[in-house]
Amino acid sequence: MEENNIIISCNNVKKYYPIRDGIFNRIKDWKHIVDGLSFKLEQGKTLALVGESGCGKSVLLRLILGLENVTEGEIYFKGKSVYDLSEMQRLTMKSEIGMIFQDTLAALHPRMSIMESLKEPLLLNGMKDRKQMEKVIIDTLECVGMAPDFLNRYPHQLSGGQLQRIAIARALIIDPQVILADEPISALDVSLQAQVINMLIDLQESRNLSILLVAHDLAVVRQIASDIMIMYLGTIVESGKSSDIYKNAKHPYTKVLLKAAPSISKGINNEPFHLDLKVGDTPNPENPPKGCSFCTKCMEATERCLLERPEPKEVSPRHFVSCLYV
Amino acid sequence: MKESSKHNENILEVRDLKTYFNVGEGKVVKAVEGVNFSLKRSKILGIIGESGSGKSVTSRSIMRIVDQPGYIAGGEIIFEGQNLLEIPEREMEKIRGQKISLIFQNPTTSFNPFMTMEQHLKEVYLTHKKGATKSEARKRALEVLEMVGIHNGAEILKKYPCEFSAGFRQRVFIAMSMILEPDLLIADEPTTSLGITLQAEIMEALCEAQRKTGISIIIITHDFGVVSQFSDSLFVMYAGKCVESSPKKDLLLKPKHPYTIGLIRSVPLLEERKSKRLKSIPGFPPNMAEEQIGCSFSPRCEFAREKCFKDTPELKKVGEEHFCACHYPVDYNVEDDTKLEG
Amino acid sequence: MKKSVKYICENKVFSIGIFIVSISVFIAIFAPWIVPYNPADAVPKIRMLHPFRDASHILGADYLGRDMLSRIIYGIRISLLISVASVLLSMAVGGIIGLLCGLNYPGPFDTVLMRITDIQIGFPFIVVAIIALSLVEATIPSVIIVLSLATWPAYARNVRSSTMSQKETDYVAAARIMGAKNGRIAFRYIGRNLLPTILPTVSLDIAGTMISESLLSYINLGLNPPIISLGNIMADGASYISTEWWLTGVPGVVILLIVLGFNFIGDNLQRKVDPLLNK
Repeated sequence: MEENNIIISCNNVKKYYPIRDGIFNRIKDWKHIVDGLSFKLEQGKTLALVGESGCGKSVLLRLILGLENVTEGEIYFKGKSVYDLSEMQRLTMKSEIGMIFQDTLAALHPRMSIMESLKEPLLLNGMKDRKQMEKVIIDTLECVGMAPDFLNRYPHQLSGGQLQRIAIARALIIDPQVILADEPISALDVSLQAQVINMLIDLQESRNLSILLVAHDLAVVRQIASDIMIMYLGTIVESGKSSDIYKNAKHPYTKVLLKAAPSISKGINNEPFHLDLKVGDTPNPENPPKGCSFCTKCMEATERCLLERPEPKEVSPRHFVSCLYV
Repeated sequence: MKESSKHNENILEVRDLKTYFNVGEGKVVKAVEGVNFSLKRSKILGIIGESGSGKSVTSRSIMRIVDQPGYIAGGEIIFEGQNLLEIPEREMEKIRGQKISLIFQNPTTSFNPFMTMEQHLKEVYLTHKKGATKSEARKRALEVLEMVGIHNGAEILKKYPCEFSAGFRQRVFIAMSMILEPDLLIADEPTTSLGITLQAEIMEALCEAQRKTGISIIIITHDFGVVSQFSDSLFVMYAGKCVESSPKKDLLLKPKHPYTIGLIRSVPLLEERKSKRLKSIPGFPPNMAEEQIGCSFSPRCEFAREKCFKDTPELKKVGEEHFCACHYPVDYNVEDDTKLEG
Repeated sequence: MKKSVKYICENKVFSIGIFIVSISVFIAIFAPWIVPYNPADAVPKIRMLHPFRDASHILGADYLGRDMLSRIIYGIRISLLISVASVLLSMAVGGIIGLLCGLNYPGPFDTVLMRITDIQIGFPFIVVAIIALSLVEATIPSVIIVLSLATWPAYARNVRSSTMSQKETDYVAAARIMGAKNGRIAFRYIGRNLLPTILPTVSLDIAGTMISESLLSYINLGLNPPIISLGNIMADGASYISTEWWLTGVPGVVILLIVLGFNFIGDNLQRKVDPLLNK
């Protein structure tokens, strides 16, 4: 693997939130939200980060974007540490990253017209000429299949599908190299989901974009992701090429996810819903299990799992599994 | 358990249901425009539709809880032989909860944070069952919890709603809606906004409860995967109308309506597809405030011909128990696109 | 523009409010040109002239024989100036303090300023006004400042809480990702959401301040003659209230009308200026 090809890489990133208590708000304990993550995103690839709500995937995006600082570890953007860059360089870095939020309505300023919202990233990147700006905006809207007559409307006047297109347009308008997408389609209707997935595939091919896609559903990323990481409680339990994950899943949690995802073919075969999980709530990040993060829910867990933290093992090229019994 | 003689009868029949909303300036939004379906006792019907297709309004119409400015403009809802639209409000109140139960999308707001689970469950039981004692109520509460797979019921009853996760609360809510032994349960997007494993957990609990009590269920969702795994027959809605209904396998393997086909093609799958791109339905759903001429799907339909833009298609029989509202039903094989097997 | 005109025409309450307020603003601006007499000129012959008795002095005259209509016109000018200026001042001060506190939360700046606000809220306004006006002379600027003491904490609190909640929203995060700095986020993103929520209170506060001003003048703490405010006119007539009621009644009705006008606007303004409420 060539090093220059790597756009974003994370090295043992940790993010802990303090839990304060008592009259003097002393730090009592730490919530382990992201607990030692490492991965690399290559140019022109799509990496999907799959995990359920609360596993820390959105926090990871905030860390990459510099909205929050890491507790430990390093995040590199094109080989430079995100936290070493001077303010100016950081701004240029931001012009190379586009972000698509989960809740598109919340991510657009409610009292700015679509035109103004789309102008913002251009203004912040130093574009001044009004005509040029309008041309860029209309071109980008065409890219996402929207007519320019939406420009004078406000976000609450648009439907979910239209908003999602505007959100993608805003991320693309600065011509970024990377797109970070936080559950870009989970709030959309089925017929629009397919449109957005196709659009992302098209854009990636025409612009050689790298995409870091966060999702909670394995089926959703099937079509688009070249590599997949499965995240559970702040750690990556399994990662590999998309075919490795779908056809040759090794980690018990990945298997559970694959089995739990509802699908038409399961319906045709009359497969009932079934969940191989121990009853009870997911462990709290305040008090993560000492051993394997999944041990409290895993059906195959033994006493060793409770005590020993598994290290990622390479079971086949680039397919890593963090389980003691693989 | 219900008597076997009743086994094959329709518990619910909806005929030509129309629910409109007055949006002012003389405009009427026809949220539900002539919906027909029936549900056999102890069966599960899945209603699929995208947001704004009128699927939630249909369920609210059955319960007669359509909010202002909406009103039921016509049709019949025959539940166990009586038309729910003709009975007085007082009797409807008895039917709600006792005979028909509703599960909402958001279980968090359905609980009073200051009441324990025991108080919640008992309250429902005691208000509807006159003369029942508290110990009876508690016994019944433990029974229904067991039904949805909660085995340590006595412990759960002591706790407050905030002590549970969203998924667990939804489970208790399902138990609560079963406590009066209703004949029909309507689940309106019961798992939307929950994660994959929680969704599976809830659906498993619902399946278990259905198996144990033989209750009939209508499940309303936009998720094709969930309904196809859960229900016996399916019913697809688009723009306030029924476009296709049939037993599950027919609809999944041999869909006839272009919209159903489009939906099945665009559902994300765990299996590999033959092409990299999904075959999506172009365009957006219609604006319901505008009058629709012809088939409401025609602007987005790849098979649309001249007639489709003029005449509204009626629901026609295209196979045994298979109905489709399309002028030109399409023969389509799901396996063309995916590696699905029947 | 067409839409606004249509809205105003359709909404009767709002249009009455606009009508009253624009007339009083017109009177305030052009007072020197529209008064029939010099309000300071005393004509002993017409002392205590009842209103509607004499066509040349339609609202009568006061105990010194000064034309009431002219005095009220000047009174509107001063009262309006004072209440509008004082509310604008408290909005600016309270707004900026609230914005800075909200951005600074949970920092030391926020803690200190919010405690000051709390203390200020703890004192009844009238006590604050009495203390302040016994320390400084009552001039137009000092009365404006004293009156704004009553309203600024509300603005500060409002703006602060809105800023705090907006700071966490996705659109502010999106702006940060695009590279917007704090100043831009504060004014362009957060500020834009503050105005529509504050505006209705502004016109209600103008009405309230107008009443406070009259109250201060009435208890002889406000502006002193020869400056004429509506409160002053009422205070002048107060000694004759049992026999010559109109000396206090007529300016009272004028205050009532203007206050009503502002309140009518306040209720409906948000619906007009806020794009969120336009479907």
